[in-house]
Amino acid sequence: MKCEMAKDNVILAYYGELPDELAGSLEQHLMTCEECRHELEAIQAMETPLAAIPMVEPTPNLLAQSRMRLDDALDSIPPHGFLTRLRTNFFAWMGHLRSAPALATLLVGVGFIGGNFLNRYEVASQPRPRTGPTYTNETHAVIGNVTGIDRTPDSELVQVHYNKIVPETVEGSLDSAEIRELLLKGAMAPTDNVRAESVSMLAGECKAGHQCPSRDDGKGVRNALLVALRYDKDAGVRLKALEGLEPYVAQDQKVRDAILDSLASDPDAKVRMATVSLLEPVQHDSSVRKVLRNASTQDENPYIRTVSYNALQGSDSIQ
Amino acid sequence: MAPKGRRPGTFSPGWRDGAVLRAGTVESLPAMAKAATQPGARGGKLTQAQLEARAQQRAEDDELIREAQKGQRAAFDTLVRRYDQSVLRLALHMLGNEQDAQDVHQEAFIKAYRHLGNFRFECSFYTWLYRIVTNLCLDQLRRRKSRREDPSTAIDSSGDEMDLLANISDDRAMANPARELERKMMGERIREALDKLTPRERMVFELKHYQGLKLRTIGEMLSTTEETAKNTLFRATRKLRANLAELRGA
Repeated sequence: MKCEMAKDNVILAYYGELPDELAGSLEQHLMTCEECRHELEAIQAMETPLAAIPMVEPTPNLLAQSRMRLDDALDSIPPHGFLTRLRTNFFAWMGHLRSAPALATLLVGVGFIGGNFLNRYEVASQPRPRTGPTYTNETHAVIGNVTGIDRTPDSELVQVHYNKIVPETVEGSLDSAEIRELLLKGAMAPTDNVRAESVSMLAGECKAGHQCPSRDDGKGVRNALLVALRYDKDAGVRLKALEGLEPYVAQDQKVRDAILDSLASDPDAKVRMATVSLLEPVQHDSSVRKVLRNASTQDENPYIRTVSYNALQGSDSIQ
Repeated sequence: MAPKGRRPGTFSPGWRDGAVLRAGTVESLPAMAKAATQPGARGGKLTQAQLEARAQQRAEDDELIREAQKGQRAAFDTLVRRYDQSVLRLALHMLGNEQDAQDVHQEAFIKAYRHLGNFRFECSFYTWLYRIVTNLCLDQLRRRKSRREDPSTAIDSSGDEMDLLANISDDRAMANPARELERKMMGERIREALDKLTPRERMVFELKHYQGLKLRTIGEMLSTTEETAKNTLFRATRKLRANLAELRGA
């Protein structure tokens, strides 16, 4: 045992608070340590001077006087009211609960189950408020069209299905499939400048030879340009479509037929004039020559008639 | 006032009818060391009879408290009669002043009466009441410390300073005037030494040395742990030892 601990234990031993298990080691330490023995003697030596202030009993007079004062003070305190008794009873109950954990657990369980049932009853019996319509996937968008209406039998509940138009923007390369798909839709958009821009861009891609193959399913960029050439009401759009189709006049029969139809029947002179120059590589084709011949004699525009006639002359010299 | 009989100390060997063990005393080391570690009467273990009596008293107290909590004033009065002498004795010894002791006595029981509804039977009424008393005494001691008041004097009703120690007399007074004077002088010095302790150290020392309470009970009364009470007792004892050594040297 170290001296510091021994000195503490001497005080504990003096006051009868030393645990039995430490008594032996303290006894051994005191036999070998003079300093701690001095400590023991010093503690013992305090007894006499401290006895100079003995614990004195209060005199009977003082006690009687104190009791009288206390009685008077207690008499002036009003009796406990209802709230005080309630609080007292609460604490008494708490005391009972602490001494009976099983009862406390049971009460908690009963309270929980009772509360659960009460909550269920309230939920079941409360009047349902008239709520407004509920939306799923509500976004800041415009309702495009209503697609269906379902009414729940024997009630006023109605489900309305509709589509919303959500404005979005996408940015990407002209070669990307998503952009191409959007440009194809743009080529059929009702707005003139959107159609013109879309067809112009698609035509540019075809002129540059970027993925503009011929397809039999009626899809793809080349088919879109053919549709635009045949049916678009805007002459500017038709002209742009012609530019895109130019590389395929010689190899694609469909393109050639569409261009010939345009030369024969397009209402716009500029479009018809543009077709004549495009047909130059295939002037030897009999169907082309037939259309050129008709145009040279029947087209209302004298310039087109002249150009067609010259083209026929060139094809004759070739043959 | 009759002084309460001082209990014999723990270290019975070396004592000769209360005489201090001196360096010249013939006492073998093993015997001395053994005596030091034997639990003596000071704070020694309680006998079975004492334990039973204490349990019986606690049961009676609890019953009285329950009746008092229901509003029966007579039950509370019985509790007062059981403990008011002990409360007054502690306050008187702590404060050395009858007036202050009387104030603490009254305030403690009024507090107990007002807050009896909060008593939860987790400890004995005695411990609960003493907690109130010790707090009131601590407050009084702190006020004194802050006012740097001389605890051995007070102002009486006529406004004159009176010696409080002179008010505490016992049956030995005037038996031998010279000895009585010497005893009073010694008492005054001891009080000075005790006053050098902090209020908390003073309280722990008081409850342990003079009241003989267990450290665990002292911890409960002061709303702290037994370990803290123990450390406070160590500090108080060492300080007091040093202060008393100065007195002996003076």
